[in-house]
Amino acid sequence: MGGLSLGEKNFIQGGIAQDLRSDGRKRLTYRPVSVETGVIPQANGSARVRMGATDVISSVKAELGKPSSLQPDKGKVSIYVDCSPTAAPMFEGRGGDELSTDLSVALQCCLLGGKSGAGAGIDLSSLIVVEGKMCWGLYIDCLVISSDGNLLDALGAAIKAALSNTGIPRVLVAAGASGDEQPEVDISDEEFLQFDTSDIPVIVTLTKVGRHYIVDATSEEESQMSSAVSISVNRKGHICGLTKRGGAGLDPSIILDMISVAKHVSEQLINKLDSEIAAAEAGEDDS
Amino acid sequence: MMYSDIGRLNCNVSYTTFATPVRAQGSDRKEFSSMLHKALEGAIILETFPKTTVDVFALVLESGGSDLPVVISCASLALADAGILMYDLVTSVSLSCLGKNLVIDPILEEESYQDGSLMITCMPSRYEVTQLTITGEWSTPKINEGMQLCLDACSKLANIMRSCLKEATTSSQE
Repeated sequence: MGGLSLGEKNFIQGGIAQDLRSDGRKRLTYRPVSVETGVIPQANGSARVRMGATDVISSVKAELGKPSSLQPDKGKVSIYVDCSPTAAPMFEGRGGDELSTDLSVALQCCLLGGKSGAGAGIDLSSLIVVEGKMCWGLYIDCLVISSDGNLLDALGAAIKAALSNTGIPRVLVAAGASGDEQPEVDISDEEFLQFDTSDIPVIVTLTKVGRHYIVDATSEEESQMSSAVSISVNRKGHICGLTKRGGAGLDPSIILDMISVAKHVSEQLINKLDSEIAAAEAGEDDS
Repeated sequence: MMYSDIGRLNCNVSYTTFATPVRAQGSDRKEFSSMLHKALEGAIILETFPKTTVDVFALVLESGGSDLPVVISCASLALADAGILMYDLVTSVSLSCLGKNLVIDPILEEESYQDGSLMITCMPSRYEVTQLTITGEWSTPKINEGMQLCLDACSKLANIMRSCLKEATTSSQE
């Protein structure tokens, strides 16, 4: 955002240095998070997450497909992000494309783990139906409706909520299919398998402004950042992914310090999110 | 294009169709392009050339693992050769985590079985990390070990790159 005056910039930076930000938060406090699940009936699972004025929707669609020849024992998961022009004027036309790719890559890096599947939030081998022939492909599509900073954390939370809302139909494989034929399957429309989402990490972005770093930056605060590090942490406290934004270089010791801060913050965030997701699911069942 | 009082950096990474084991159609790697941009933007002194764009094109002829680190190191070498003002050379090294072992500069086969990867891009003389990506599950001591390994390798790589630049200038003067 280029529309800030020198006074406003100093106000933001000064506030962060004194551990009192312009909206009254401390450096390591999140804005209130609200979660709504089952917002898109057409999808297998969906969720909408709001953090202050940041508003994102994530939907999960499952389709049967063929596993890739390189990894015949694993299903496929892909994550796409779309930035709606309603979120910010700069997303109009082609403007959001670059940010969309950046966010997609960062989410894939933070949530899908290594090539062998270690550290992944989603167990890819649980998506297999017939090894080498048929598997579920999960398409996770995210839409940014309104952007007020900290998109990556909100998207990560939305994906976690959407996956816990997702039911994959149980598939019965007809016996007798042999050789190279595609097996015949019967997709149940009554029985659904739920995901175990407790291992899905949350993403904590630490934005460095001046000498300090803050969580859950608003877009005004993000305009003052020198660099930002997004760290995804799972319940066990292990790091599942890390990406960095912003041009300024960081001393390696600062990065290690950021990692330990992120671990500490993530514990609270995971608990807060879990209770919000549980409340949203309960509310959906009632209605 | 809009007026800008600092220089612009434009990066593009593409692959030849025959670079990968499976013949690829879409050879443009947008995610690599943006990673290259992020890795280099902190090192180039953009204030020194207002109203100007610097284009960096990288073409991967043959992919044999650790593509992005090689692309980044190569691009910074090319920028230095072109005489673009930079704070420092940018070097990049990646490592793979295979079980308990950490292997530096992994080849394609190692990358396809890795449990996790870590890539560091740094400016060795300033001892600053400009870009860092980690995938897979890592404990903090392991990240520590991996980062240290990569940073050591980066400073070694920088020495090689420097001597290579010096050789090029001396040979062109003769």
